[in-house]
Amino acid sequence: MPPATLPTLYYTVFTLFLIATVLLLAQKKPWARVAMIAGTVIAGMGVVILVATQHRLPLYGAFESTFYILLVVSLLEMVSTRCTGAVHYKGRISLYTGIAVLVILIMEINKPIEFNDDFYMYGNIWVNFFFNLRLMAAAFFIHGAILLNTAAWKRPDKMPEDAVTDCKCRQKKIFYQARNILLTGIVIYLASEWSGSLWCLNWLGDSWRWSKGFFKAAIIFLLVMTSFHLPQPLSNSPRARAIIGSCPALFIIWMIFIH
Amino acid sequence: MIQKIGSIKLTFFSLVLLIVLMGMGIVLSLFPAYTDAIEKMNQTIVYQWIVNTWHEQPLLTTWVLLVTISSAVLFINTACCSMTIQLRTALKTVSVRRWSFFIIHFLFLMVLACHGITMVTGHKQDNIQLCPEDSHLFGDNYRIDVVNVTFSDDPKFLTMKRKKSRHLMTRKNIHPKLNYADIALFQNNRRLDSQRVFMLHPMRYKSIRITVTRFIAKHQNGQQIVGVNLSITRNIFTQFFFTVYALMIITLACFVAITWKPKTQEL
Repeated sequence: MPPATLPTLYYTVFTLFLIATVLLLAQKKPWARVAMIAGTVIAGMGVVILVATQHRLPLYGAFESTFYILLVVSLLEMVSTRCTGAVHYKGRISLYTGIAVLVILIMEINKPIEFNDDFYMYGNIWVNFFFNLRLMAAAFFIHGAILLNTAAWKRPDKMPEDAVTDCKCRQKKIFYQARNILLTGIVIYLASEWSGSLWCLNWLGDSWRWSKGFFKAAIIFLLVMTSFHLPQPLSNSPRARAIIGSCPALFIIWMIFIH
Repeated sequence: MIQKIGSIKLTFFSLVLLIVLMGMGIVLSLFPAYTDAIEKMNQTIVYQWIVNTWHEQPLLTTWVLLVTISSAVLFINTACCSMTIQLRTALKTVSVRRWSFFIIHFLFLMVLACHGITMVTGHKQDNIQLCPEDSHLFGDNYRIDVVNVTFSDDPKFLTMKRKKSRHLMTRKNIHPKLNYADIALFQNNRRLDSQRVFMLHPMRYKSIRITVTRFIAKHQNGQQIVGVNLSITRNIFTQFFFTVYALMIITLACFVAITWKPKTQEL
C-alpha cells in the first residue's frame, strides 16, 4: 500500500464532510446528501483496506478508531433519517452528524495517520470483540446523543398551541428512537465488556482488575444507566434528558481519542 | 420504607455517586504512588488488601470502602425496586415486556453480587516469577512445579521496557502457540494434574486457575534463563459470573427488541 493512501483517504473524508456540513447549513440538502454518502463510502474503503491488509477488524488507535466510528455513525444517520418519526428532524440529524464527524476528524488531525501496530494478542477472538464492539458502541452513543439534541433544543414555547402539540409528539418519537439507540449501544458495550472480561481472565487470571481502564469503562456503563434512571423533574425536561443522555458519548470520545 | 429504599431517586443518586467515585479513581491513578497501590490491589483479595494497607494508604482505602458502600446501596436499591415494584407489576399481567424488565434487573443484581463476593472470598496471588524446576506453595498444601519453559521467539523482547516492546510485539514477531510452560499441580505431594500452559490459555483444575501472564528473562550463573510470571486464582463463582453476565446482556437485547416500537401511550 503506497504511504500516501491513508492520509489521502483521511483528507478526502474530511473535505467531503466539511462540504456536506456547509451545504446543510446553506439548505442544499440533496447535494449535502451526495457529499455525505461519498464520505461514508470512502470511510468504508479505509475500513476495507484495514481488514484486507492487516487481516483484522478495526480495534485501536487514532486513525482506525476514527474511520470506523464515523462509518457507523454516518450509516446510523442514513437509517435514522429514513424512519417516519424523524421526518421533521431529517436536516438537523444530518447537520449534527456532519458536525460530530468533523469534530472527531479535527481531534485526530495531528495524530499519525496509520493503522495501529499489529499487537500479537490481536489474533485472539475475545480481544477482537472487546475493542471492535467498544468502537461500535461509541458510534451508537454518539448517534443517540445526536438524536436527543436534535429534538431537545426546539423551542415549543414560541409556537402556536396546535404546533406545540405536534412538536411535542414529534419530539417524543425522536426521544424514543434515541432511547432505542442508547439501549442498543449499551447491549453492544456490555458484549464488548464481557469479551474483555474473558480476555482479562485468560490473560491475567481475573475477570476484572482495579485499573484506570476499568474505572473509565465503569463510568460509561453508569452514565448510560443514569440516563435511564432519571427522577421526576429531570425526566420531564427534554433538555436535561438530552444533556445527561449525551454524557456517555462525550465520555467515550474522551476515553478513545484524548486520554 | 421499602418503596423509599427502592425509589428511582436513590438509584439516580447512587449512580451519580459511583460515577464521581470512579472519576476520583481515574484522578488517583494519575499519581504514580497511587498507581502502584492500585496495582497491588490486584495481587490479592481486596478484603485482605484493605486489612493490610489501610494504615499505609488511608485515602485509597477510604475510596475503596466508599465505592463498596455505594455499590451496596445500589444493590439494595435495585433489590427493593425489583422485588416490590417490578415483580409485582410482572405478576399482575403476564407480559414478556414486564418479565424481561424484571429479569434484567435481577441478573444485574447477580452480577453485582458476584463482584462483591470475589472481593472477600477465594484465593489470589499475582506476580509469581518462576523459572524451570522452580516450585511454589499456596493455600491448602497446594504446590506447583514449573517443569519446563519454552520460548521460541527472540528473548530480546523480554528484556526491553514494556512501552518499547509493545510496538515490536506484533503477530509477526511473537507466536503465542510456540511459547509455553509445562506446569504440574500437587496437593500434599500428590500429583493432581499437569498441563502445557500458553499465554491466554491458563491451566485449570476445578476452581483453580494458573495463568501465564508473561514470559520473563532472568540471569542465573551468567546465563539467561526464560521463566514465567504466573497468577494463581481460585474462584468458584467465575463460571457463574460469566453465565449470568451473558444472560443479562441477552435479556437486555431481547428487551430492546420487544420494546423497539413504542406503545401509543408512550408517545
